[in-house]
Amino acid sequence: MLNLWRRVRCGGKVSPYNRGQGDNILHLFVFLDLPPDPFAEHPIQANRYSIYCEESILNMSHHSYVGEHQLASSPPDSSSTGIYKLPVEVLVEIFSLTPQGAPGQMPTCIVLRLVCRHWRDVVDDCHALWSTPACLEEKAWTTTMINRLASVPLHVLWTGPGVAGGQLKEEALLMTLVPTVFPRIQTLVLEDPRGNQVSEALGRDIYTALIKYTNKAEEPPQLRELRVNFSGQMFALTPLFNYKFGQLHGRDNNPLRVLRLSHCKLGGLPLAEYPNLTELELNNCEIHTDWGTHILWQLEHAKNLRSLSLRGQTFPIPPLATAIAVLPHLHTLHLAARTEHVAQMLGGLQIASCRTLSLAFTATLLSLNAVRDMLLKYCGHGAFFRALQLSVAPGDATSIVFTATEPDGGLTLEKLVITIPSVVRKGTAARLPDWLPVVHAESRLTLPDGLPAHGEEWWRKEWFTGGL
Amino acid sequence: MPTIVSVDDSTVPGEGSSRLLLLVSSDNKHIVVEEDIMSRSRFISKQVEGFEATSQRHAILLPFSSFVLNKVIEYCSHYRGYYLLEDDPDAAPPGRSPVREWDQEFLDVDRNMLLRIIKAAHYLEIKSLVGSCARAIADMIRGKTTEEMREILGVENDFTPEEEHSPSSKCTG
Repeated sequence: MLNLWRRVRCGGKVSPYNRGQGDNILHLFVFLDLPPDPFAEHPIQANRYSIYCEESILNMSHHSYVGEHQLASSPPDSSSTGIYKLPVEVLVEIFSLTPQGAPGQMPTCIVLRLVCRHWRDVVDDCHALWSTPACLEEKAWTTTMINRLASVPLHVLWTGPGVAGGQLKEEALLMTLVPTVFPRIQTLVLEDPRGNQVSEALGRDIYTALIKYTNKAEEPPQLRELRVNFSGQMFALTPLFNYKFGQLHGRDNNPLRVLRLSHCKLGGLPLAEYPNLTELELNNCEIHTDWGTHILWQLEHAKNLRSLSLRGQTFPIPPLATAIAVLPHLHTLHLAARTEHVAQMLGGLQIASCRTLSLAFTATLLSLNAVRDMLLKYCGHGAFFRALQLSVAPGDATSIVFTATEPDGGLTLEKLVITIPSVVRKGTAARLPDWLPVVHAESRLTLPDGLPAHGEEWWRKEWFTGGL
Repeated sequence: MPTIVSVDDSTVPGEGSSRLLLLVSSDNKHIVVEEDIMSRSRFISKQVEGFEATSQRHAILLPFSSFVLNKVIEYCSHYRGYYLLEDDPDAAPPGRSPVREWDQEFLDVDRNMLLRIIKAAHYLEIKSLVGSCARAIADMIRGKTTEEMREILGVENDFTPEEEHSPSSKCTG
């Protein structure tokens, strides 16, 4: 490096493209005296380079530079590259990917913080690692957990104990946590995709305790997001916030912003009590027809709703269309059901503000004309989609978009995301270049894992040539 | 003493390719690479934005060795033109990103190299590579005891005996 600087003429200034933290980024104009020119094959006349580098690199001592050079040519010892020298953000990413300990074992966050002081500090500041309360054999460690839980905004992810033996301990912990923790919970996730009966029962207990606390607490709770998903069996829910909360704290002070319910039996959902709701998901829920109509009528109270997802629901069409039409801020609508239901629903919708439309079809029926007609109808009204997401078998997706982007259709898209969850038929991709150039600005293809039947290289070649 | 290394002709891309960048590693190796390849790096992209339009030769000094830099370039070359959600600055942060088979083979290196790659990826702001390296390291320490973690990753135990036996004392929040 020192040699380099002897052989160049340079001037410089502090770059306006500093990264905001740490060292200044210097912008150097360097005139290299470098025969032969490494770029000699190219018709470039100027020999001025712009060099951007951090100030610290220029301040690097000769000694440290040589040291680095030596390290590069022989395997360095652990002390020079030890993980404790990694940036905090990187350590946090590593730690967050480390799974929690199994029931009965010491939680990973505790194990990690015992490694060294630096790790302890990083772990203590990483809220995500403390999101799962656990009851431990040693009382001291349980106290440690509770202390940590008491000091950070909580995002409780409760996936169930997994084994029946853990139930008593977890319940004991729950009783400890209720008065300490519930007031500060900001996000509560109750889910167990395995459908374990014990965890389902425990989830119900937690939910019941939360309802009791929420509607009687002297101070308004901080719960902003609630997610419930016990996919193995339906989870019967009574409303979390009822009129008592409104009486105590005022309806407008309801903190809930995000409500995502999957596989739940809903006995009612008093949306009038949730005026600040911005995101509502009722996916694959069991809703009695009368209640369904009631919920839809109540949607008019959710004036701040920005995203609505009704996957796997078959609401009566007229109330749904009416309810959605009066939501001024709704910009994302997810509909997924058997194709004929989606098409039927779309036929009655008028969504003036909708910018992101996500359609997922669980059956590849061919009654997609209604979808196509709906898209064309929007085009006819000059509607503009920021993003159109299609999750569908490839032949159908191609058919829809191809039709909609014909010159007469005039569909304007800023972003197109196609997710193809099924096996790919080879003939499909050959049609894509025909319509992709019509799509404006940005088009993306999401390939899920396990796909495709063709190799990734094939996809790259077939999809990413032709204007993407 | 390190000296200027002339660029290997085989690394110079042909005509019609994107703009060229000259990356200078800490061991003073010069690597010419197409801007397209390195566009996955937000750090490089930001630097390139600052280059004057008239300047056609762009050099960026990087604080890691050519051995590490070449690995990063190999990664970026492999995913050239691919859309990876983690590297999309406009996309919402993905949850647990999928394991890519090629990444697993690519990162089948010794511990020191893995740590160097993740540091370089973090410096260059290549989130997908940071994520893959982080997953590889997390797999290394999965289910291990504290002592085993120290041994695997070469971490020194700097606790005093008192701290080590009463670790909850620091846990004051």
